[in-house]
Amino acid sequence: MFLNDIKVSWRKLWLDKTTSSIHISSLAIGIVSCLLIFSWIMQQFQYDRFHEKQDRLFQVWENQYYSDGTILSVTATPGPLKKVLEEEMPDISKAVRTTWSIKKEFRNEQFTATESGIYADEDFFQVFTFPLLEGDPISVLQQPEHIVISQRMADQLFPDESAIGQSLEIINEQPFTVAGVMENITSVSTLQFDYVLPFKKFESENDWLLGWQNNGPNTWVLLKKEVDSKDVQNKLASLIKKDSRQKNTELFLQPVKDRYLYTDYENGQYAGGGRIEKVKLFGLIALLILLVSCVNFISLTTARASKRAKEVGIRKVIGASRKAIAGQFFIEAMLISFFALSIGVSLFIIFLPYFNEATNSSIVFSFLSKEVGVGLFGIFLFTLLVAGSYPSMLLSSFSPLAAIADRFQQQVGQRWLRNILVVGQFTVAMVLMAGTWIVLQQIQFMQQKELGFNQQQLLYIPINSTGLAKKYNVLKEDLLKIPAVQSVSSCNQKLNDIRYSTSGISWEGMPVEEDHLFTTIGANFDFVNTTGLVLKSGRDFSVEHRADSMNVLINEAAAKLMKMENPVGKSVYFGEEPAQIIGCVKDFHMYSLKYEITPAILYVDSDLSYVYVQVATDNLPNTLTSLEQTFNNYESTIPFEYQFADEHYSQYYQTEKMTSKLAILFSILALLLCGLGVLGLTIFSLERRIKEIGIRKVLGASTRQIVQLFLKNILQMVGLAFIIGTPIAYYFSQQWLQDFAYRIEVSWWIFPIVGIIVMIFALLTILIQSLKAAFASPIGALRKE
Amino acid sequence: MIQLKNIERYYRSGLQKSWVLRDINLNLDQGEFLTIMGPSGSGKSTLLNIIGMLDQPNNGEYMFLDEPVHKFRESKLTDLHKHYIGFVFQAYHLIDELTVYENIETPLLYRGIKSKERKSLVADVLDRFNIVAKKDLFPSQLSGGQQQLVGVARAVIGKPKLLLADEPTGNLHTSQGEIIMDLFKELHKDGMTIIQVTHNEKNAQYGTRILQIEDGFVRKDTPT
Repeated sequence: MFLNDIKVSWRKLWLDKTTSSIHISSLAIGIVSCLLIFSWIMQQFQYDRFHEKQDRLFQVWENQYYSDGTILSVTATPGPLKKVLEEEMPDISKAVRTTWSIKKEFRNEQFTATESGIYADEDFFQVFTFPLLEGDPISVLQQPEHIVISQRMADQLFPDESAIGQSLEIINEQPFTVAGVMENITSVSTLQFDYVLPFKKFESENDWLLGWQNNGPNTWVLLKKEVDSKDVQNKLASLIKKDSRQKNTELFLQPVKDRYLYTDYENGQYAGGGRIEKVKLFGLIALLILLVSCVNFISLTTARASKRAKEVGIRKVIGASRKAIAGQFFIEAMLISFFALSIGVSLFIIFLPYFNEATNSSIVFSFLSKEVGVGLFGIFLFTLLVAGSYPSMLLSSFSPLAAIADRFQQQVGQRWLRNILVVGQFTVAMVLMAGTWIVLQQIQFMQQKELGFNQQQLLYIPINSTGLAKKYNVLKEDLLKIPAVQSVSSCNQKLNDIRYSTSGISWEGMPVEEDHLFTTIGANFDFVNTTGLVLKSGRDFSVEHRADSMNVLINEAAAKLMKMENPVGKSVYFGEEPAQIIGCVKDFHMYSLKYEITPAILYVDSDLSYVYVQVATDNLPNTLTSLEQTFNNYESTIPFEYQFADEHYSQYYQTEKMTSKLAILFSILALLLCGLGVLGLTIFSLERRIKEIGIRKVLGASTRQIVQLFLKNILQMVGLAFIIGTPIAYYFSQQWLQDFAYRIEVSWWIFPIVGIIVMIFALLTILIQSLKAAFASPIGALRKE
Repeated sequence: MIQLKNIERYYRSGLQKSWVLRDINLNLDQGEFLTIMGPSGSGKSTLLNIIGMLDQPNNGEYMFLDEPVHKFRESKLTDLHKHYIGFVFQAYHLIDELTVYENIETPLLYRGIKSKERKSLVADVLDRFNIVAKKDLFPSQLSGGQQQLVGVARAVIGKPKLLLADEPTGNLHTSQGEIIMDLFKELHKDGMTIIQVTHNEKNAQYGTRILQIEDGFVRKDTPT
């Protein structure tokens, strides 16, 4: 019986190729989307979850409490914390510090390379699982001249020989010995580095690490076995407040395996956001799309049901039980699901590379993996159950008599249900499309927004050598000789990537017990001129005023905070040290638009990390060459690097861009599914109404009137979808936009336009079919009688 | 074999009843060849459907082989009629996607008959009806008469006790119709009980008894 059913089902599929392809492709689309999203989700859950000791591995965070009630949560911790943790917390087995990523120039006799890496304490390789191909994890970072490099770096610098024991020079530092070679860091690690240097080396060059006043490195702890992290948490909270350490701060632990997904901390609490929200969102979308495609399937199947009714009737007459009929249709659904699954999986494999590129992932598909097998089977089962059960139940319930007697003029399976399904599909498509549009608008807004300074003409040139820093003044003169160079200054950070801040600032009239966080920018003379910041009052730092090296500029937000209407001439105090405000600049964006503009103080800094050059925009290649030449006169060993401020800025919205790409993909898929659904239903509707159309034509209906019959129905459904979908889309986009401190207003006209697009699409889909019907000869239709 | 007592059948539309069968009484023995005749709308097909257990009367008793069929549920009805009754339709109602062989075979599949036995039964029937050459063709490739032959073959392959035929020659020309009626005659000679519904006087002559129905009542019940 089973074999027979398969034979019959196969023949049915083959004979009605159009409808079968519509059936199968719509299911396949749903499957492909699911596969893509679920594999992406699975990968998101793999980040930082490969460490052997991950259940005991935590990162130390600090909550900083400020008088205005804000609580800032940071991962930058004080240098001495590690030792204190190891000594005063018996539950902690080891503590390790790491720095942020630092780029260095490497050189040996034959090769050079620029690589990024970190400094880490000795126990690093025992706490984290970054496998060493060569070298002993225990001793590999023990000596200050040791270095561990990645396989890739070893291949590049020591292609023909073993790197162990070899000498490697870092520009402007003394030579190091390669003590270990590690596997290239997996892409599912948030910690990325190609070399590791001993932390003690970093400490020896940075005294500020020794005290409690400064935060910088990340601190990680490995708890002892069978220790309850909550216990540790409780003891830890007040550790840092003791003695002369940091006041108004508390420590807490975050499991390393949660690092990637649970990133949003607000007011000292995990605010329930971060990437996990994106993961949930996309999971939901994937399920929706799978559901929509199953709905399509059900809708198409039940629509065709009246055609099958006769067959069901006959079979029942010749002896089929209800179970047998249900079984037959279930097998048909199984066959279709199987084909859809095969096509879906093939499409998945084909599109995976493009998907990886768009979402910045590195998903790999392997038939052999257990998860994949289970996943595929699960999807197969799901679609089979959802898509197969209802039609089977429905079709097997026909009474044979009614079926055969062709009294099945009425639409089977309740027309209203099918209409609801179609309306639902259209709604999903509209919500996705409107949402995508809004996301794209927001991204465009952020990319084009005026930041408050001149991004397009500002170049950041990193200064990597102390020698160069010393010659800054002469360098500046030489740079100004280049005609396209309009102004030169320097800064300790990139202006649209400001991270430093400080507290302990006071001013006249400040309420005594208050403490606020101010963003600090270490600038130089001609800073305002070079960056294009706009002065609201006062003047730029200038060499003509010697005292400017002790003066400061503030922004509007700072003036507001300090309640100064005319800040110029007033003083602020860094601890005890006074500084005079010489000017106030209009607020500018110092980071991504997700964040509010904070009060900022600019001062003249001897720490020059970047030379700022303002250039004229024409003939850039020439200008860049001249710049390079000038730099090379001062430092020929380090390659000349530069970045335009707007380039740096455009990197901020990677997540949003990825979201938008995925959103576009899913909007298209949803629309396609709708189209397939509508197409299938129209074809069916046509077949069923051939007789009716024939009669109408004989009675004198024009082609136009016939076509109108079909169009009216579809338009009603699209209209309904519009009414339902618009508020839903509006709500969800508002939710998403909340993430951004600076955001667009949702323009009302997006929704009607999306509605019209969907309507046009629906119309086109059925246009061909309905025209065909309208032009068909009535005689052929009536002859069936 | 069949006893119908006071059979009534009506359809409701709102509060109205539209009557199809008002008071049908019939006693049929095994081996008879009954023809049910009457004007259009007289209820002939409905009566046949009730006898064939495809429909149920609103009132009255129906005893089939001494079993009170009017009391049975759908599943029991299916069972009964699967084993004892074969149906032939005016419009043949073959399954288009199956070959002649497969069409004839299908009732056996639903009875769970094993492959070897199926093969022999089907071969027998194909032979008897002289359609062996056509066994791999599809219904769309056959003429009306041939399709009906297949329909009859399908109906009788399970060796039913009762064969019901609703206007079996209605869509056929005279010569094709004659072939079918001759076939019925033969089956009857071999002991099958047959009930046919027809307009055609000539067809009625093949049978042993004629039942005239009009407006839902039995008007005449006479041997041929």
